[in-house]
Amino acid sequence: MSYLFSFAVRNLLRYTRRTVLTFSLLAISGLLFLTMQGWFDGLDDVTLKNTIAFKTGHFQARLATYDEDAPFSTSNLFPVTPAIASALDGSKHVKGWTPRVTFLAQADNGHDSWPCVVTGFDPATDSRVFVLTNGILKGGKIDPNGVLVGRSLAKDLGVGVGDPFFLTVRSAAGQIDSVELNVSGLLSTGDPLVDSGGAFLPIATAYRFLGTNLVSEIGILCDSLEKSGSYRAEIEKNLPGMKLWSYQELAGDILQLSRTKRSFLNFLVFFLVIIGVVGIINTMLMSVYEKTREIGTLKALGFRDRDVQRIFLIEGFLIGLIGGLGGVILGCLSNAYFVYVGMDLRLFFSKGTDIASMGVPDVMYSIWNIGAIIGTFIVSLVASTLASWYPAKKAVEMQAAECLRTI
Amino acid sequence: MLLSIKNLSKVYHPGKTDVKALEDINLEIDSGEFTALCGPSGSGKTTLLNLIGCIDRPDGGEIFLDGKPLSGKTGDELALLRREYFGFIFQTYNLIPVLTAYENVELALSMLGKPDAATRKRVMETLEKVGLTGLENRKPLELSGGQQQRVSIARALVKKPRLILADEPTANLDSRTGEQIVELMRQMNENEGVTFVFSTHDALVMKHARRLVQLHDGRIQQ
Repeated sequence: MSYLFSFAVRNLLRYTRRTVLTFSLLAISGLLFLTMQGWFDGLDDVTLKNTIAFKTGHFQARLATYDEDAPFSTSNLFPVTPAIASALDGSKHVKGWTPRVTFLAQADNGHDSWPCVVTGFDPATDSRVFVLTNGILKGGKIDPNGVLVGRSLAKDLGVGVGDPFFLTVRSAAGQIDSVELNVSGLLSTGDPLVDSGGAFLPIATAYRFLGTNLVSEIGILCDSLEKSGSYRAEIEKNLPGMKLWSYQELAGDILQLSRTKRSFLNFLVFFLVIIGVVGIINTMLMSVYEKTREIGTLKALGFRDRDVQRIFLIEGFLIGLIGGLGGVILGCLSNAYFVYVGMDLRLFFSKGTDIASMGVPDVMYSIWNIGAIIGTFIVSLVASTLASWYPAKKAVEMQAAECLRTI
Repeated sequence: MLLSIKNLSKVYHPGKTDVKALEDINLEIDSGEFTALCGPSGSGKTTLLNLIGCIDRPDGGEIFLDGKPLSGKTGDELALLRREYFGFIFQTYNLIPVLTAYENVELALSMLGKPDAATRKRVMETLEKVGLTGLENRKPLELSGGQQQRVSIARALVKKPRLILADEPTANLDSRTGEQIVELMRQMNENEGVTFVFSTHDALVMKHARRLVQLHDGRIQQ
């Protein structure tokens, strides 16, 4: 077997330029895939983290009868009873919890009005679950008449910190009231729904507008995101009449978007693999036809068909090995740049474009995906070896006498 | 009897018409012979050598090697026979261009087991026998035609085959070099006892043969 290996290596070195081009094809495919995988992973990661940090926590406790089709209905509201507070305080897995009430309102600046989702939060406990203050771009002092406004919404309304901000709200009793608040801060959370159509105000103010002190959800943060799924039943057991919604369920739209992006990436991978495979088949077929006489000579010397086949399969394997390694190295170098330096997305848009409203951060950072790195290497190896199977078969099918007659 | 051929025939189908390359060939070759297959181009010399060397299959008749028929053998069995029984020398040398002279000769032994010190000694001795000492690290393109053919002879010889089949071994060489190559083959036949069957249409080469088998239009003319 070692002489077959040595022979295959010599063959690869024979046409250096062609071999390097084939290696490059695989390496560039690996580079593109790993770079894009890093981008997508990074974007997903920041989006999910923002969603958890600003909107969902690890869980949201809602009424078991919560109506998903009418999320702002008053029938979804409930009181934070001492029993609920005691159950959450007593749970060893719950690191923090905080009530929130979410309702629809019409925001206006005196000239134009925009619909927005208003969240009433408890300034005393919200930071135990959420990191709302991390998203404050300007201002940030919370006062009873202050409101934090998503930066795109503020831009659309033409308001800044300290400006008056009017909200028209329908109370729990059905009465419509318009109230004047002050913009106490601008929010940039990376969540397009918050940044382009969200406002946050103290829960006491929200109670006053709604005419009730009921809440729509309780945000819960566990001691571990990874283990949170296993805590669900235990926490839920102590909250009769309530149901826990995990961040995956709450971020369903985002995860669906992520799956769509993955489909695109998978298509790209498929396309790259096809290009790589066709390139390798082409290289190997050329190699087989160029070496027809040599194949005949080897067979005359007593090489069995499977020995000849192995030479070409080893060549394919080596192309995959080196091309795959090259792809992984280039891909890791590229990914490292985007992990540590990041990509300033503002460079791709005209000045003044509010890219937060598109749901992407100003600077996007990739993340490491070990599975993708290993997968790239294995796919290169397997695809390259499989791609050389057909040319190897052609070599085997050639009759020695015919090969030797070839000029 | 080393080799016995009975009623051998071979037909090629290059297009719509069949071409009879060999017809009713009967031939016996004993160990130690130095036999030349003679005849003009297209007379069937190469076809007969290919059939004897198991690199092509006949359409009729039978070849017996050491009294055993070759028909019915699988591809792997024929490969083993080629490996153990035969050495081949080609008109165009057919050396592997990426391997050195030494490696080309060693290649013939590589399938018989892992190369060791004994292999190296055997390869070097064979190269010495064909007059290539000092050129073992050269690649084929760095050697003259005559030297390449010597490597080819060493490659055929190194595994001590029962029979060496040489297809027009001097056709690509000038007459002086060609004669040297035939002389070398003759020495190997006499000194090593290796049986040679070679094809040629060169009268100068024929005179070295101890036995001439004349082929014409695929038939033997004694």
